[in-house]
Amino acid sequence: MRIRPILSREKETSRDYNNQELKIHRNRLIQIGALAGLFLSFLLYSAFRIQVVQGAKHRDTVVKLSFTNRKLPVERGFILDRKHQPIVVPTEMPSAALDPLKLAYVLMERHSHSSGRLSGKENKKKREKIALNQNLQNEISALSSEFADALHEDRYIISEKLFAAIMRGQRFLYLKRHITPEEIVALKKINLPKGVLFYPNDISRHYPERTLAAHVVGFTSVDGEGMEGVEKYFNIELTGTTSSIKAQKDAKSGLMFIKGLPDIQVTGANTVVLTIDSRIQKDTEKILQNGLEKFKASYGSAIVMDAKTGEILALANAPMFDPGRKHEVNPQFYRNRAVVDAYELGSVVKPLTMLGAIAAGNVTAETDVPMDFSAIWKDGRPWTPKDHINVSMGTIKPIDIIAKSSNKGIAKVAELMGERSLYTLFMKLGFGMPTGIELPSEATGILPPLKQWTSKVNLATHSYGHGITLSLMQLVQAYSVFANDGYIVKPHVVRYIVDDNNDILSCNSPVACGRKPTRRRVVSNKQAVREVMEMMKAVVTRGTGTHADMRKWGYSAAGKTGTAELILKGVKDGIAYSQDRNRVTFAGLVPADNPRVVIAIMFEDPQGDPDTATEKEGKIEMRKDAGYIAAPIFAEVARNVMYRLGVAPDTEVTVKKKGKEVKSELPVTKPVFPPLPSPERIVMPDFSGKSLAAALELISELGIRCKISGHGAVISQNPPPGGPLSGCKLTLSTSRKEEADNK
Amino acid sequence: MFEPEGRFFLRIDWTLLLLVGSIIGLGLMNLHSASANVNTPMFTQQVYWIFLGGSAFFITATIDYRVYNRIAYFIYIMGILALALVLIIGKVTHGSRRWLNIGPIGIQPSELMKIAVILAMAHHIDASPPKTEEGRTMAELMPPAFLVFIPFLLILIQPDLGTGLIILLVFFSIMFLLKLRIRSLLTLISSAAILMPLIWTFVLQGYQKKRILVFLDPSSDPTGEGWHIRQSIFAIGSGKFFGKGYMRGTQSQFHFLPAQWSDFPFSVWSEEWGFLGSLVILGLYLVLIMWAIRLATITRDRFASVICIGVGAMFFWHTIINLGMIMGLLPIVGVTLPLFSHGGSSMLTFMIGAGLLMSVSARRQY
Repeated sequence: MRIRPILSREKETSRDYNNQELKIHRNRLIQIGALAGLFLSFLLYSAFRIQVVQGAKHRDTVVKLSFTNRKLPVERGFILDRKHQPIVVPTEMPSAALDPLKLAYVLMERHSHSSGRLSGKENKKKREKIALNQNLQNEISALSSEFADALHEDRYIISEKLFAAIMRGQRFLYLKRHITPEEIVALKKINLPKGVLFYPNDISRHYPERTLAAHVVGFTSVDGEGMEGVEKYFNIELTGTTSSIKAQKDAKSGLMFIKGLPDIQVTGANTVVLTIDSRIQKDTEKILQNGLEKFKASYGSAIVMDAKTGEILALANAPMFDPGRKHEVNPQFYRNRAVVDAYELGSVVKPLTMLGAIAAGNVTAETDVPMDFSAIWKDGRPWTPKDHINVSMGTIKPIDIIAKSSNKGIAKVAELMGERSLYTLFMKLGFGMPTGIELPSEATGILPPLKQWTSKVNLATHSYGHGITLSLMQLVQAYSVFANDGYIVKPHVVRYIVDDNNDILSCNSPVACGRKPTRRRVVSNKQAVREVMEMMKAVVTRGTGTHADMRKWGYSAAGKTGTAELILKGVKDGIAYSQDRNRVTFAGLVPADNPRVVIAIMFEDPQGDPDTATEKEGKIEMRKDAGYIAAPIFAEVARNVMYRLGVAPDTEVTVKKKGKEVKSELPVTKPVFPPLPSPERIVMPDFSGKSLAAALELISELGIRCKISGHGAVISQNPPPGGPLSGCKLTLSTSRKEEADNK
Repeated sequence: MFEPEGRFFLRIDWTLLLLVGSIIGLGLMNLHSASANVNTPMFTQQVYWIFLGGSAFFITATIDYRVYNRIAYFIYIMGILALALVLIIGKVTHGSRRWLNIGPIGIQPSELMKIAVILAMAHHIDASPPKTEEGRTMAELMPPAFLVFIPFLLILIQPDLGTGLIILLVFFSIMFLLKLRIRSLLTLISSAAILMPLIWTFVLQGYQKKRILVFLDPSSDPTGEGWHIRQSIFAIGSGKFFGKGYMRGTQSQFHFLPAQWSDFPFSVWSEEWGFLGSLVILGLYLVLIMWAIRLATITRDRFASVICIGVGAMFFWHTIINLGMIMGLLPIVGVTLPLFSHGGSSMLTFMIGAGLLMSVSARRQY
């Protein structure tokens, strides 16, 4: 193409700007310019409105949207007993999860042989259409039962979960948390393409001793949050200091860290060291459980406390549960009744009332207390305490009030004391107030305020433990008054918390860190304490609690029985007590002359001691008061504690022969304790092939802490054998079943 | 070449060059931030496109614009053929057929068609002045309308509503320049009014209708379509007056913005540079558009004048629709921000447009 020369100037002007259109041309251009300017100014105005006027509001929204408080998957610490034996060991455990939307597409494809493209942005209608597809429904039902078989779950629940997730267009769904290796193997057998099923690791807890101290340590949720016990009380300490951080997230809620965010200091989880002694705990649990079964009680509790330091050596409730398999039992069993429930405990309060009266000088050990207590209700009805002992004698010695548990006698003593004095005593003993033990939801009990003691009836009933409620923990605290010359000690279940470097972070039990125990004075009269102790010894030697007599093993004991009738449920107008259902308690101290431990045992609604069964009018009747139920269990627990603590027998061995007490030459068996670990071993031992239990024993001997994942036997370790004793990591394999078989 | 009086470089319109250069430079800088956390070579790609566009700009500017007057229809027909070719062998992405692959590079003929339509209209208007004093009749408007309608239809079939819309708006903008009879003007307006519901029922796809509905009420679908608008407004707004600083925009760096390099680059920009940044960019576009209108007034022939208005209108409507969309004033349509967005075809089109302005500007003196 030949390109013509550029137009000449003449031709240009001749063609243009010669008609009327030209004249309006320039005006139009000005209009156009003005319009364009107007439009752009409007944009500028709207930018100003968004950025300057509403800027602060939008900035807030963005901060809210793009920052998140994210829980970092930090480790959770160990819980050890007082000798650093592990009770709770942190582990990792896989969960089974899947991508429901992807699954739906995979199943659809299988059927239609067409390629459904997955964009993740399917609208609601489309998702519903997918979910309502008949073929898909059949496929999912079939698949759900496969999942259910593999995971031992209900297939209807699984299929319902799956449908709901597909409807919502969910991309992540837990099938089951914390699954076993066999379950993974079973799941892998299901024919599904890669990427549908996956197994994220969750932190988990391992309980090497199963039920040991379960009510003390409690348990965690599947997400690793403490739900009960020490796990709950020290949840923050156990999860370390930065379990949650403020993190920036992207549009898909993934975490992002950009330059400029402060360095995150992730410290490891702390370890909680309990005051519990595993061996005593184990014995106590076993004895309590046996007692529960023998006497057919609905439940029982036991506490063993170091009398001088307040450290709880054992705290057991029966029936027990395994925190690792807690879903297999009634959630009622999780309840730490010794701490979270308060009861009318009855006569166990009598020695405390007596102590107050003697210390204040209202009575002495030699006073003849008249049995003439009587009172008048507010409405004018006369009232006297019920008493099961012979009242015809007229007066009674204080020692017999306690030994034979006389309601009238102690009521009279209380009358001599006066309301205010008794109320002050109870306040000082910590009634109506939590003890402050390191366990959640502690019961405070009820001590009615003085202005509600409107009648002498109140004074009398309170003096023998009715109309006031106490938890077993409060009772133990109050009884420590007899071991500390008139002081009570504060109970503790945690000795101290240590961090990664074995530095003590906080000292809960003062004696654990070389300080004096926290004590509070109740009475200042040491002689009074000794006198009441004598009365409590009489309970055991000749009173209501002879089954708690420990002289046959060479130990002296002092204590008091308490049999309270259960309150009937569903009774209108006031309170009614059951005639034949009891709550029995025994609280006492061993050895009596220089108490090492305070022990309290309680059973609710026992059916009776089968050894005392007698037939009467075709009915079998059994003794079911504290002297027959709680007292023998007390003795058995106390005997084991004495052995475990290595306390030497303090009295001559006395046994009963033909109703007479005879001094005996029976040998006293003392248990042989394993030798303490020697601190010379400073290199990492070879763990390979060891069972978890064996490995843990070795670990605790070395006084180190290891990260453990899996169950069964150790297959790998880091550092290798002979390596340094720090940052230890063990990987275990094989299944729980094999582990059980090995045992 | 084709320069009887030579010395093109001495008559370069430095203002225009500076405006175009600034926008491209800031756009490239912004892309660097917007694509910082993306694993695609977007930035390098854009640099290549800028070189290619720059060459196109240079070539377009050196050729005397009167040459385009002669070959306008030829270019137009080539464009129509390319559009037809797209419909036959074009690549389908995201459900529409817009791309033509030439060797390793893909190009959208619909983008370049804007230039062809402007040239063809300019040629037609230049060649046929109004026959009567009262202005152009409807019959006289039919040929230019026809010139626009064919590519508009071909683009709608792809479908690419945004580009189709831009071509229509450019057409109406040029019409505004002409002297029309009152009757023709009324006819134009009423035909637009009739066309609207027809387009709604027969042309718009479901997702496009939804976008418009969501635009009218963003809260009706806060996690779906409305989500984009909300995130964009959050990004812009959270920049406040001074911005969060370069590469520090949280909304953009963490991908809360959809297609933040092609459709939403201004959100990234104003989040990081604040209202001051918005002011700078808007100011640059305003000056550039005003410059094009000024060129239209001082140029000597009507062909050049229509080209300036056409190219100016193209810049203007792209800016208005893109910014209006990201600020929640208009529904979401895939329209790029001139010279600022990531994308080859768009960059090439606007560079050629700017080249046409330069060609006109350099030769306005004689």
